[in-house]
Amino acid sequence: MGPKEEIFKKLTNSVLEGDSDNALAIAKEVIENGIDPIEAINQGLTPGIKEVGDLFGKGEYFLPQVILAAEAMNAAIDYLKKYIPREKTIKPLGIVVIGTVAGDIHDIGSKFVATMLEANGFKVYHIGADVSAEKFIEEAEKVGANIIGASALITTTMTEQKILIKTLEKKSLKSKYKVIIGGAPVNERWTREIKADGYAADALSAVELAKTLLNR
Amino acid sequence: MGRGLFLVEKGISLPSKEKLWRPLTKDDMETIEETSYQILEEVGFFSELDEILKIAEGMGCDVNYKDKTIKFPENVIEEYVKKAPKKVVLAGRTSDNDITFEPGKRVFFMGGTATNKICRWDGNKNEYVYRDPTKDDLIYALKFMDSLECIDFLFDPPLLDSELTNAGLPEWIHAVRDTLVNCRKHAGRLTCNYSPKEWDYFARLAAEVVGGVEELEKRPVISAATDALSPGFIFKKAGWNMLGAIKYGIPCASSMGAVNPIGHPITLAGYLAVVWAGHLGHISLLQGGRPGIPCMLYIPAGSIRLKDGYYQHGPEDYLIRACRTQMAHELLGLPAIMGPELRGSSKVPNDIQTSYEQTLGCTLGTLCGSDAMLIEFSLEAGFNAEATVMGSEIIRYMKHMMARFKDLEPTPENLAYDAVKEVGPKGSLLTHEHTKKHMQLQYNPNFADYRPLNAWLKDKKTMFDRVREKVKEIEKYELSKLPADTIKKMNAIVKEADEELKRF
Repeated sequence: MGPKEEIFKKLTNSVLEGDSDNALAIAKEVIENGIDPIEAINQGLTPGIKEVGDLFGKGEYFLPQVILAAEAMNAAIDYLKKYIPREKTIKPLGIVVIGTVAGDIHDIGSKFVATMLEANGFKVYHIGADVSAEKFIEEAEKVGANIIGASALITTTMTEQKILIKTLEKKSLKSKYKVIIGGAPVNERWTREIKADGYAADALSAVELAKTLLNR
Repeated sequence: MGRGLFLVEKGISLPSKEKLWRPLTKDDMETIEETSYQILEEVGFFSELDEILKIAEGMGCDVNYKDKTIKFPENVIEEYVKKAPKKVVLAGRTSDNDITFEPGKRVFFMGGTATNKICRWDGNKNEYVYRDPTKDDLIYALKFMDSLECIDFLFDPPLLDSELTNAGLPEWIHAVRDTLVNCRKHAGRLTCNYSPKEWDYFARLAAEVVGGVEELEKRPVISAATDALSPGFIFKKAGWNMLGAIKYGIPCASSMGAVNPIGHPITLAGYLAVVWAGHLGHISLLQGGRPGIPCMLYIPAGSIRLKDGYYQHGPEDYLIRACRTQMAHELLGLPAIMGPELRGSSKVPNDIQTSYEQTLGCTLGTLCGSDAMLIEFSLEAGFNAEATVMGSEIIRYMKHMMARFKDLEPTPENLAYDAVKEVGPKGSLLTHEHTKKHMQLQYNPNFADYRPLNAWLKDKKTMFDRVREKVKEIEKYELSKLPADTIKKMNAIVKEADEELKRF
């Protein structure tokens, strides 16, 4: 294994171990050694997060480990991207605005989805909990999003997802955004009823759905 | 033959506390509470609303308006929590439907889940059919809430009308309105609101039942819960709940999203210390806002599964609930109500998972002496009439067991030595006077079948078949509505609210 490959391996391990400090230190090594940061991301960090996703899917990694892994990856990427020439900037797979709907303050699920989307190449803006339909749309317009993700954890707030769709229709913006909904009381039937573009039962399927909706 | 001791008894009388499940020693509670005070003084609360910060400041707390934090000195907590009255009444439409909490003496049962799904048994297709509920379904569910003697009051409406949205007056408040109109029992709380205006409409609807807003304090047919995000995080909805309860003087439960291990440590002592700090802080603030306002502790507990992010009620969650109940009774002398106890998390109606979860929940909750427990069903599976009736049977089982503590007391009558001596070592007590006198003590289930196989084979009725017969009986139950002119006034309030709160 050459020196470059060794560094990539260390990057992968830092993600697997969820060690943000180490990931950042190795990212600095990448630059000090004149290695292409894009190569480091693609061959070091991305394999790490993919493996984390697989381990989570098998029940071998738990939530805290996945979140720490994503934080480690982002710590490295935030450093490396300063050294990527503008013309070579990695275009995200898509831009996502995600949050929890108005009246609902449960945001663990939506944060986890945001983490996994980000780790899989999306640019994600998590706008918090108790977010009104109007605010979702305002933020999506501001950042040029392709996808709006709206999470609702209780039955009484899932109607806000319907209100989001209706508000988009009223503003003639329904075709501009793909709307993904999620949360414990949500299901496919509800998704069809309110004319959302998709439903994700968990974070991993949210990533696949986002890719499918944007043809990535 | 009689039907048992609990024939018309509201709630369950409990034996003395020494006979209940009390997991903590006195030293445990004191040490945990010390840490709670430390949390309150050094970590503090966060409140989005300045009105709550002002109340805290007036109490003598250390308030930072910029960071929106409250630090509670120990002496302030001690001064204010003791203002909470020990007896709490949740009013029904008439006083015979009132629930009176005197901590540790009785356990009551509450109904309602506010789900927006219903699954109804289709006898033609021989399967459950899931669908979105309508207002008719809510009225259907209220028949069970009102008629089942094992449901003493409501804490949430049983169903929401899915044809409404939160585009005007929230569907939850519509559902409470329907509960007030149709059900004689206490109608429960508001937990889904987006503004103080909605709180006011909620109170105005209830006020029509009791004859005016000023009467709500005396006859609280509705209640409240703080519903903080995590013990010390009073986001604006939780703040509005506190302020609404304070404004109208209605009983308010200190509740929080105590989902393990988000707002508190995964280790149980730390979990307890943080949630206990939450309860102390909430109750103090409520008393600071309105001294003497009735307070309860509402104790849901669950965990986020670290393995996959889903939600569960595991054995540790019941242990925590038992500890919180014990602390509520022994440290504060306040009622502790639990939810959800009789819950089926299963997505499949009436399956084995539902059975054991409901049974365990009811048993453990009763044995730790909680003041009320919630019959609930899976949010995913929706309102299920058969599960509700079966849940009531589980409650009945526990009621009976608790009632038998009376004849466990070693009195001469209960020891029955004279009867034992009379029949001698070879004799039978089956027809003895003592047995005839006390034979009503024995448990008589409504639905369980103890016949031998040959007898059962003649009709092959299952538990489900027998429960279905009860469901059909309840379906014919006539709800007792409020007078027409009261309903008319409530309808006018709803219309006004829908207009004022219209979002699109």
